Amino acid sequence: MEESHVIQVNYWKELHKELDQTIGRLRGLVLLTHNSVELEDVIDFLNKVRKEEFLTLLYVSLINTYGYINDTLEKHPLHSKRVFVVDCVSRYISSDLRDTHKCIYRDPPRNLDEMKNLILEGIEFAKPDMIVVDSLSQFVNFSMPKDEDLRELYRFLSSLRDEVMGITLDTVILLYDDKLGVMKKLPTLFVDTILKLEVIRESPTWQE
Amino acid sequence: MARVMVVDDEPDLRNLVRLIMEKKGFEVETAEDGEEFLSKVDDFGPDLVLLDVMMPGPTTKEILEKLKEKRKRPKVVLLTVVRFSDEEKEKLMKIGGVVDYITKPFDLQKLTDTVSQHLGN
Repeated sequence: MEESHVIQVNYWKELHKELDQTIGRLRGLVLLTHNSVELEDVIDFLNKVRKEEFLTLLYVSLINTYGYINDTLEKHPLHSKRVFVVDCVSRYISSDLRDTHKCIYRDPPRNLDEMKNLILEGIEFAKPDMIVVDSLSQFVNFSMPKDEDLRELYRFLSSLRDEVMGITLDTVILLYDDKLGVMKKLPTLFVDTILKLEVIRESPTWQE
Repeated sequence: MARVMVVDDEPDLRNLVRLIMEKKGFEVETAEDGEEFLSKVDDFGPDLVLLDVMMPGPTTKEILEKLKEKRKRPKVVLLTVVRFSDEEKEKLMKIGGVVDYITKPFDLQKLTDTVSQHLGN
């Protein structure tokens, strides 16, 4: 039997009292690891970020169409934030889409290099204070990451630091949930903050 | 025997769904993208198509438009991780053929139930 080695040790601390302050001060680039996070939960998270400031947000969507984003924002408004969307999914269902001042439609990125270029294009359009990428799941299976995928991810994160972060942003935040499986290896390199989002939904007992 | 076609660019998922559908007694054909699907659909003549939305090649809308021209038009169940607005869903329904949506990752029981329901099994 092969001898196993410790490859990573993570310490976790429940920070309920400080968490609002931590999230409230976040700035930078938020990378969602899984596509299982509901948009309304992302909105709820973003509503906690820098509440007192009016921010422009760039949302790069590989999962929600702009139509779906608009519908969701009507029901769950994003307070004091202007949203600019790079929609990378609507072209799957329609080829006659026109860019607007709130949304540009692009083909989905085939790799992380193309993802970086989309982010750069979005920055040029929106001049954002914050960027959300939803999500990286089609490039890295975080529940069972291959070494090669992680190497690509680190290369992506490193080049984001060099080419993107200097523009308006200064922190990379990885937001993950483990509905589709626990993260086996937390990609800690080039990431400043890792937040786990845990949304527990349950029918109230009185409805049963 | 009802015929089901599985169109998805992920080979593992395609093969898994094929196995499950065969186990349920359906005759199954697969395709890895929209182009292969359109080249096979006339010969195979499926009653129902499980169609992945995110694939290289023709868009889902283009595939549905092409299906509209076919003499035998199969029912289409879209397999998708994409979240659409109600309006977008309606637009796809209007092109014709789309009878249901299954969100990925899906429960295998839900998949077989949906297929059986639409094939009247």
